Amino acid sequence: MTHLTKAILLVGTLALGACTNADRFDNADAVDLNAQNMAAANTGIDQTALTGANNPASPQYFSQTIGDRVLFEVDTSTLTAQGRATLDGQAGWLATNSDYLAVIEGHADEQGTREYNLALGARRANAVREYLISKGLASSRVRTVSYGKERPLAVCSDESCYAQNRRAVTIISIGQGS
Amino acid sequence: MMTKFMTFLAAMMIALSATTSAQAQEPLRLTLRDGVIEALPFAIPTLQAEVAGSEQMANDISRVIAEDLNGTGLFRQIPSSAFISTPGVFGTPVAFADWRAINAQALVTGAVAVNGSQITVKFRLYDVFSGSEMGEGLQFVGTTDGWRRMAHKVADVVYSRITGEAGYFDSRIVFVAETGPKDDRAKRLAIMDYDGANVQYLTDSSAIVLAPRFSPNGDRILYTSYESGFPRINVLNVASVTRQQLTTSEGDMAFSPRFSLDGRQVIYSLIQGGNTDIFRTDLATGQHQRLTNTPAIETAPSFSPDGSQIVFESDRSGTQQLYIMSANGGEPQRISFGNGRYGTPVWSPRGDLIAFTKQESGRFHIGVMRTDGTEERLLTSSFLDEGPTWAPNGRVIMFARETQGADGTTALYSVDITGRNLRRVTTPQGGSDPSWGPLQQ
Amino acid sequence: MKGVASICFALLAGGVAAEDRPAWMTGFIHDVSQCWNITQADDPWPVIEINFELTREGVPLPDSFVMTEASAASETATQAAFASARRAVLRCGMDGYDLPAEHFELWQHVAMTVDPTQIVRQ
Repeated sequence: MTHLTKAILLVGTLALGACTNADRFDNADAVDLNAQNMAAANTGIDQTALTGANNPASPQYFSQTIGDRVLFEVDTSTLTAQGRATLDGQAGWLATNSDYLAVIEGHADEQGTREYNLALGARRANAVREYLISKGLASSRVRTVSYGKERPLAVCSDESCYAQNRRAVTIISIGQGS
Repeated sequence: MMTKFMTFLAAMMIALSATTSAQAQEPLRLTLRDGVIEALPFAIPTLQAEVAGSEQMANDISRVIAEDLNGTGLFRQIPSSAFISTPGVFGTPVAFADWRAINAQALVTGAVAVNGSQITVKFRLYDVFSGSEMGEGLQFVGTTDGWRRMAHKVADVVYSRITGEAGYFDSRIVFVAETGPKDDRAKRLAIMDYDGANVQYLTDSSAIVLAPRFSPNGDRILYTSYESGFPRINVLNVASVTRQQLTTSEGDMAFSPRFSLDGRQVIYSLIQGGNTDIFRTDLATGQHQRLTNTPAIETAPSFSPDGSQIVFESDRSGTQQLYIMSANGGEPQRISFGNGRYGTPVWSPRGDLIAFTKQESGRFHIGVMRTDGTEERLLTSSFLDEGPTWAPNGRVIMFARETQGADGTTALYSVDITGRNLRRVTTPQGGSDPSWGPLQQ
Repeated sequence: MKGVASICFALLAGGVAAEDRPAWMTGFIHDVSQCWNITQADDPWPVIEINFELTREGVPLPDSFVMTEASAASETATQAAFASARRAVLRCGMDGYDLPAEHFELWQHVAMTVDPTQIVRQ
């Protein structure tokens, strides 16, 4: 429980950071986490070659190369084939990088009432969580949170934006002491 | 009454059939079944300043009374430029002929006296065409910083005496004040007078806050906050602006809270393993009770005014629809059967209607229906209208409207339950999730 | 916004066809309906009966109005209904209703049932 509590605090910080930064995966918190890993690698190795998405153990690799999000059809929480493929990658990465914990954020587009969308976002986040658990992720390493329609990525009011907003995003963080 | 009436009718038929001058003393019996529905013209000459230095306050109070009445759409202020005469000293006889001549049907006269921080407002309401006073004159005494409330109280009495309904002007709204673009929106809890005056902020914008709800007597506010990183319900004391988290049943996330009528219990939605059900928590004992138990999304619960039933939304049928169940849970009855999706039901304080948000063919509506689902009426239509809340007298509904596109903003609107008088409520920033508090004491 | 006039004479309800009503009666009730302002059609006021008197010129006497019956409702609603009906009769009768002088004894005293329950929602 102590591990989880600390992780929640960390995730809470990430979530707050997201309040002022829509694209949280480029934000300072994520880079800082990575910097801990980079410190040991700094000597004698070309630093630029291993940064970011080129380092398979980095959060950037997780978010950019594997893909940190899956998208959903209107008013559904069913995983698409593409979504399952992405989650297979996530499950593999989390199996390798076992010191990371995950929080799944569920989101909805703006076409719905606030309450319903919160519940729908929770369904989507849970669908992802259960899939990851089915692929071997320990249930203690993954939590869910729903933002409903409160945190859209794309702001236009048509399907091109709605499709990007109907998403579940896997936010990873180092679990202290794992 | 009708039986007696019919008897009388029969008697009249006999009287008529034997038409002679002997029956001339009988009254002519007629039934009026139709009229007009239009704003009632009223005059409110600027209240008199009874004490030197009260003039500004008298002006301001007169203006707010008129704005309250005009704002209902049921009354229409006659401009002072049309006045033939001005009233004499407050309480002296009124020259009704002068007011009849400009077709004023109601006349409000009054006087204001400011003494230090104390303010006294007196007023009388007249029925111009019968040349009589409607009810007795009244006097309110308060402090100068509460002058708007005194104006609202006068307007509430005028409204009530003319319409026969309780007023709603001396009441407050708690809502979510919104600033910033859609993808970086800051939300703060805010409280204001019903007309948008006296906005005060109750939280900062460091965490998302949603859907505040007044307690029945207005002393506390329930709302959902992401302070912890997850949606949880907070209870905020309005007077001290202190808050604490509501202890709920075990669950990942809690939201959509509402007080019971006695303010002792909270009903809310709790998410457990991705599934949303409705629960109830007793604030004093901390006991929790599950009220729904299905794999469907069950949310937005609202008590009936007698506390015996709960209306809520569920997608158990496949789409969002409205259901009513006992306050203790149990098998619910579906009440919405129209096309489209129905959400956020709110029971009217009079008990006769349920207001809701409806989505149909890409449009959102605020509507009302009887508690058995009949007589559905849609009051508004736009790209996104949602979250109705009732005025304390059950005649007016406030809701949030969001405009379309990247530059979309939210604003509060009100509409009466006949669908007339749609008005934007002036707020300093965007606003959403209004909750209308009770008439203040 | 004006409602459709639906005029009824209880007096004639027992079998006299509408077209047989004297024109002055139709005109009288129609005139009153033009001044009867129903502030809130959605939730009707109680049904009331008012009695009043008219002068030979057809002008209602303000002090003659009394409410003789009312269906169950709050005192506030009943008083509002009475005030509204009285206002209607007085306003439209300021210059005198168009009534036949030769039948003064027929219309000098009026008992008017005021029933907003049939008003059509809009």
